[in-house]
Amino acid sequence: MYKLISLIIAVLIIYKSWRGLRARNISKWFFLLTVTVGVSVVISSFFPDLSTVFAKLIGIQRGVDFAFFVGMLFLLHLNIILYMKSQQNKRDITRLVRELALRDIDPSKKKE
Amino acid sequence: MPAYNESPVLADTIDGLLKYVRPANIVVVDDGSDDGTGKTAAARNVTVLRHLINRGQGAAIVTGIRAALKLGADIIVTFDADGQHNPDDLPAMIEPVRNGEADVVLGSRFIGQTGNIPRLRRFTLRAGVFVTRIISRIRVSDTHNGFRVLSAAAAGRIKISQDGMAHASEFIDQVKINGLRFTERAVRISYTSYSLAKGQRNSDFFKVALRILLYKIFSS
Repeated sequence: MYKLISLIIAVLIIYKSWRGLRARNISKWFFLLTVTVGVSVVISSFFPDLSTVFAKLIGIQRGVDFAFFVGMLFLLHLNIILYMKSQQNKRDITRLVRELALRDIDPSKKKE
Repeated sequence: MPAYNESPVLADTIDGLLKYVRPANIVVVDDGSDDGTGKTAAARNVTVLRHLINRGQGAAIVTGIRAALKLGADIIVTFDADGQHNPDDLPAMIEPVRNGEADVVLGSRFIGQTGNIPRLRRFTLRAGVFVTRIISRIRVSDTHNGFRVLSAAAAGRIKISQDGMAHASEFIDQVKINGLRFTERAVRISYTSYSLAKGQRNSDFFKVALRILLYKIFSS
């Protein structure tokens, strides 16, 4: 049953991101990332032992722990990207507000 | 002079400065106030710029510095609008820049008479100095003092990206990064119930420290 659920979720994720790519709402890199995540979810649910193989490669015993570890890293990475984007947006808004304010400067009022 | 909802005290602050500065040379940046701060300033015939939305003290200071440079200023002073600074300290603050002894003069409430600083505020300010010493490797006695003087050349080199209160730490960091000559001068701070309510909360220390740490990580 869980295999079917993970397959449906993966297909939905990939379909949504494909639509996002078509509508130019997301970049092709983000699309590739979601496809990779979706395919990894399907593979690891159909072949659960495969994740254990990878886990043992980096010294982790169970495949589930490996998936959790990778998930945490992915979320951390996403968090940093979102933080940097929000900072950039804030900076852009401030720049815009500043340039609008500086338009009011009257050059005739130059320092006496 | 950055000003956000300061109309109750702004006129007095400007009047104090008018003893030393011509009205046209005072630049008030109304940081998206909704209490008529801009009108109060304009009534004193000073230069008033308006941020359409509130962007924070750091953002307003940068706008003011940009405006001063555009108006051809040789020496730029940053001064809080809430009346906590004493305009009579201005001549002594300007002197080192005017004489060419320093590029930047930082006001310090910890030099000379320091009697009236609330105990908790003193502790958080000291903690700020400690954090700045570690992060920026610069020795100053008061990092979060809004009373500063800088030469036009120094103002052109200092790049402030922090819109909020963390700009004060970033300013010190920029002094160090740009190798600017700086000195500190004693300034008197008036802690009124108004300025304490309007100013930074002591708990802001953690927020500012985190912001300046993130700024150092992502800007290096």
